[in-house]
Amino acid sequence: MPEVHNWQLGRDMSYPYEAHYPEWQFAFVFNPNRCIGCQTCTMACKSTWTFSKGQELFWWNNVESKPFGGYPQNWDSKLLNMLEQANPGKQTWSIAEKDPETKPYGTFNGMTIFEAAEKHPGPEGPQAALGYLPTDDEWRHPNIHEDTATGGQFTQDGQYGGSAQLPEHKVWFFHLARICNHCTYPGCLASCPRQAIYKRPEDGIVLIDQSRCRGYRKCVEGCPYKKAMYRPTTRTSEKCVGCFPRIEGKDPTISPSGAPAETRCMAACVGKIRLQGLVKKNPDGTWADDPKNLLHYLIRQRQVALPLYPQFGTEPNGYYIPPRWVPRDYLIQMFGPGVDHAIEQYSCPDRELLAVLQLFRANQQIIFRYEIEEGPKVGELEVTMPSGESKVQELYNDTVIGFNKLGEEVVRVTIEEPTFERPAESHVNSI
Amino acid sequence: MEPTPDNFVPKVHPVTRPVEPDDPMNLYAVEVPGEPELMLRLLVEEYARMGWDLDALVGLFRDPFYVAAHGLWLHYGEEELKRRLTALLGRVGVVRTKTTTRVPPSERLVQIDLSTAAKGTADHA
Repeated sequence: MPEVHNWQLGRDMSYPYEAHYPEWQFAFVFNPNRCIGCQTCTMACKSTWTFSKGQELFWWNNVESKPFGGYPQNWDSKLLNMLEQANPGKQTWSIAEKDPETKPYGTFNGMTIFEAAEKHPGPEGPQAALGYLPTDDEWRHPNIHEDTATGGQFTQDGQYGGSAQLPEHKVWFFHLARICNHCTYPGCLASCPRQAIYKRPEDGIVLIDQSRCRGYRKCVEGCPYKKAMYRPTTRTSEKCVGCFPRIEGKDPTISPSGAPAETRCMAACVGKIRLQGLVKKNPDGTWADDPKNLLHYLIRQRQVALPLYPQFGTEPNGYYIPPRWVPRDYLIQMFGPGVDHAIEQYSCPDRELLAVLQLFRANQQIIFRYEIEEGPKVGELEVTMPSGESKVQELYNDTVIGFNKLGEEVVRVTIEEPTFERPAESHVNSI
Repeated sequence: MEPTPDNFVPKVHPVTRPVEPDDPMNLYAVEVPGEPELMLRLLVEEYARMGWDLDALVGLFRDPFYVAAHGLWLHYGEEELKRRLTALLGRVGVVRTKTTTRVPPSERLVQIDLSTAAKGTADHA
């Protein structure tokens, strides 16, 4: 297999095809710290793209509650188990040799889904990417049981407790919104025996050519995130199309000037957890130096947002700010070894990071560049650091301005003086 | 067929049904340790950073459809939760922002002056 470079793993890796890179790459940052699992994004996508016959079980955008939820059920733990079986005890990272440019999270020592498939052929021969085909039951109930999680094991004479008998879940969980990651090295594309899947050179969106697809479901098997889905009525597979007409700027209501607009799921997010963007790529696949691009700032400069399961090896272009209250081991397994740094940065954002965070869901047009007009200091806030200690965060009357691809200003957000509502008993001068 | 004492199947609430180990849809999971206090504190910090005040937060936590927040409401109870929210907001403060969106030119509304049009003096040029 050809060798390609995966910056998220800090090394080269095997991939079935030679590397080709788009001019721009569709990418996004989600912030699960804010997500309340309202599913507005899910319904926005459903009502736009997957409301037809044969698409009943399609949720191109879904929000699952971790640690127990998954669509399809247990998609991630199943693949993690398969990788562990292929390479027992060696799915580890070396974090000693970090480099902000080439190895921001260190080096992954284990096997990707492509390498594991190459070295461990199954009974039906080698796969292009290690994977499995979920059952209909696993697709059918996207959110079943996940909110009512969990009780003790083996409650009755060696039997496990039924869901109806489990106690209310009152510890930790978080909502993980997911769409297709439009990976740089897609597992679906690698697995397709018909070469029906392609990555658009202009924006990196991964699409399935419906005229070439024969419905072999190899893409469903090979996508580690399980975002390619089989439609029985057409006998073809379908997947998230990245709302490409909007990315092309062809929605005259949102962007009359023709500038790219956010996808439906991003634009519908009421919790402001989403930030969509396009990242400029160099011909060799590295990110172009674009310091005032929001995604470049959050992902590459500050490393606040991390890829989802980077160890799968597809170089996903969806990034997440790790939820701060979740046990660290779980987060590191999910987002890689950059978690500690990301949470440290996010817990007490400096004035530039705080300003950039205000642009999440600030406008329906994609923001390509930001500027900050600095103002005076207006207050101090108490924040909780990962160690559990409190720290003081300074707040400034800054204004962050977002510009679209054409350089037009589309939004400005000003941070104002904070308000404090003190509990009555804390008034030191009360009589 | 009319129900008789011999063939009548009583309707029961699912909670009262016994466990069926071969039911593929029954949950099989283990509890993961966590700290509700930390989750509450960080959620409040997060939403306060977005400008949510006490009333908005209590409304969110009270709503059973927002299960993560509502789980904490169930855990602490309304009164205790309110007390904790007030104390937390008093410490961390609520960030306020002002957003100005640039309206695209095509969406500008044009006011037609009907008073002059009725007199037949409108300039149609």
